[in-house]
Amino acid sequence: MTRSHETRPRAQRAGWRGGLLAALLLALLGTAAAQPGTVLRLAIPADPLMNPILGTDAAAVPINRFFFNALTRPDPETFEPRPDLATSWEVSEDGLTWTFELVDNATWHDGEPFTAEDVKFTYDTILDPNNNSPRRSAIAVIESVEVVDDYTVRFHLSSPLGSFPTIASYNVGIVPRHVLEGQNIAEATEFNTRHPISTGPYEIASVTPGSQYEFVANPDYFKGAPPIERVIFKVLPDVNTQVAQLLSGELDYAVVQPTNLPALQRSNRVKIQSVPYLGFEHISFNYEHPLFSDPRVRLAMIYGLDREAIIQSVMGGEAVIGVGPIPPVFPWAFDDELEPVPYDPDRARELLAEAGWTPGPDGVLQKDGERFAFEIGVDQGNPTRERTTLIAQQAYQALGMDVGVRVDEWPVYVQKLLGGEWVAHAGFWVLPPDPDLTNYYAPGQAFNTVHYDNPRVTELLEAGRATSDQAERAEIYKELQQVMYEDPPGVVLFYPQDIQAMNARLTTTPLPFREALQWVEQWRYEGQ
Amino acid sequence: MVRFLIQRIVGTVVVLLLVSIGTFVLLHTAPGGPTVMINPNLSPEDVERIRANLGLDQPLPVQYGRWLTTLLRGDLGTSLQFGASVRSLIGGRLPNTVYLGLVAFVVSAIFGILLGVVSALRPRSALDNVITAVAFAGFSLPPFWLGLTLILLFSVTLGVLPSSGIRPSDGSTGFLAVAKHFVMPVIVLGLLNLAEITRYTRSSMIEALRADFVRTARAKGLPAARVVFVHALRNSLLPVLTILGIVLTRLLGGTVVTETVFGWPGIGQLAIQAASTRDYPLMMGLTLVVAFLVIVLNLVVDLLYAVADPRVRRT
Repeated sequence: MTRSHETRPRAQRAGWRGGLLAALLLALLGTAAAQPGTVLRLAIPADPLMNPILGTDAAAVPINRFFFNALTRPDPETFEPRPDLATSWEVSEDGLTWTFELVDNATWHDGEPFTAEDVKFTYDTILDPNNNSPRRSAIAVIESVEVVDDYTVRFHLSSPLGSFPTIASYNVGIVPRHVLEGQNIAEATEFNTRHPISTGPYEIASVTPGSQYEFVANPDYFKGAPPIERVIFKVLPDVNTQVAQLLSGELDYAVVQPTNLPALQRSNRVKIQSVPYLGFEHISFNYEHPLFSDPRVRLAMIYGLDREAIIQSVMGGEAVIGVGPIPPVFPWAFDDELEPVPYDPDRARELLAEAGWTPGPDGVLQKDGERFAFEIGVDQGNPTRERTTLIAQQAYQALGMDVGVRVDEWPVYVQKLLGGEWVAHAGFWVLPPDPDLTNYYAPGQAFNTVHYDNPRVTELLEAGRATSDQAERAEIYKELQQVMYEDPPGVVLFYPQDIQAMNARLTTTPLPFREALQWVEQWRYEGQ
Repeated sequence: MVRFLIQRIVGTVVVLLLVSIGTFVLLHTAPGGPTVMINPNLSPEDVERIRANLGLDQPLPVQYGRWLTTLLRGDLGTSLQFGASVRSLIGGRLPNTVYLGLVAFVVSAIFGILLGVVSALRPRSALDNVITAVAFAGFSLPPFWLGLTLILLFSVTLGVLPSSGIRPSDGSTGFLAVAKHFVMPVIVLGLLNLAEITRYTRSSMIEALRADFVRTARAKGLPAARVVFVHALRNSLLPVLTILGIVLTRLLGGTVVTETVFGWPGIGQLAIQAASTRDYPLMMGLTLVVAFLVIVLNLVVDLLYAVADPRVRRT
């Protein structure tokens, strides 16, 4: 005690000296955070490939959505396709021909006019198998693209696709024919990394690889020049650095994790906007594996997990409990009569007993001499998913299962995923702004990683794709959700929110980050 | 000397070849493939087609042969992730790592040698103990933690230093504005290397101070500063030179964690991106460039050694 009394005055003096030093430093260096209000600074995790024909990662997709216009963009409330470079579209009776009318007043950043030829060039380039475009499979339904006149383009499909205006525009920014024609698209270094041009609201101003990508407002933008003058994407791979920069005022917008919320909520410089995300977090089970082939077992896995507790403890409340694989962001397709399966471990045990699983001599469930033992695969580096998986492991151990967790780095995890090697895996599916789940739950699809194969579901998925009548599709998808409620592919844990932390004076479109960037010309600061 | 240089150049080519073979085999046998092929919309046929287009379906020796042929034409290939030439990607980043590395090197060398000398003059004194403690604390603190703590202090709380990047985002290139960006990364990298330099200087200096020629110099009545800094220090720098060489190659080889925490656009950060996406051509290019730098720096250190100590030249 005495000692602490003695040292206090000295500590105070040291504090004064420290303060003086800080003041001196401040005076010398000026404040790092002072920036004009018409600059918007966002974060991306790596250098982007600024070519929508090739870029697919977490850095490329946001920049490409921000920089390039597509034919349509998602409605901020319903996610239905709204005009972007297309003004209107119609489909033929047989659903095989889509005709898009295009804007006639758009120009490329170099002054050349935008025409239907650019649209045809973009889709032809993606469809050319030699170009290695990862977008090809998604639009492989296109048989040919026909230029009707300068501002009309017609797509001929091999089979009807009701969601075509959404799918054809999903990550497909239109690129300039006059710049890229004749080039090897994968090696167009100048366009891909330094000087892309588009019809969009911002032009590229400067590139500092690994550091920042700067854009300035396009005064000739066909929808009117955007109010924010400059946009800077900073390359910040570390999320903690992003949070620090939000707090210090060096960054104006970033998508953060629930674990970052306490630090950010204390700052009056930052506001939080939570918007529903187009996807769901899940733990899925191999449909063909003997452990999980019985739907009662998969149902038991849902009853046996306290998902509300996970949402509160891991997600900081920023998620909505899952019902099925169609998220409620599609109000027209989401079946709100279905209730989420409640947490009921006793019911889970009953279902497991009905399926023939009874406790063995070592306490682990057994059936015909086989122990209920499996591993849940999860990708490394996502703290919320890793924690969720550990909670699931404990819950399933409590049901009498022998559960392991296998954490792999991303490329390895994905290799096993695509190889269909997981008996169980935790993951996150992102959907295009459309509830079509064919990629994930139709037999034979690459991302049907759990080999889900329910004939009625397959029929409904096909029917949902074939029509463009929304009321009809709504009926189909509601039935789909009911069938999948009884025969779930796994546990839909929750629909996470996209947690956006931003400058308190900034107003954005309340959409998930990537979709919101397609409306960036409407973003503004207070007073603009 | 010419013969020595020729030997070293031939050796360099052999080492680079071995490094490239080792890296190639390790990279391609590691589980997981290039993530450019990951997309929920890709059909298995498309994945196979892309693999074939990239030549990834060929046996390893064929793939290596192809890479080497391209290299001999002076081309490091095209990055799978960035759709750009590997040479342009590395060329855009390498100078940044060199700037940061050199500044951190100079700062830690000056402070390290100075502290080492001060420690050696009063071994086991309170000052010596404090210097040793500080040096070891700097060495033991995880750079990741130290970096974030500095950001919290200087960027978030005091708001005096920018927390990332190499220059201000408004494009200004004034000396002070740019220098501010160096402060925190240099502190982290400097502290990391300070301990080694201090300890080596200290022990080598203690030895030198006890040597006969120092005693003679003192006996002749030379000023104390001249004895310490000219006679003793010059002789004690030889072992320090080796450690300085190691420190420099480490700094120029890419300081992965520091570059990541401070969003520093150097090759360390690029290597992380390349490794996490299994961007084979980029990884190969980076390994080769770093290996080359390390070899050249070692050669320079060897030559300096000969300059500093005439005995080495004779052997």
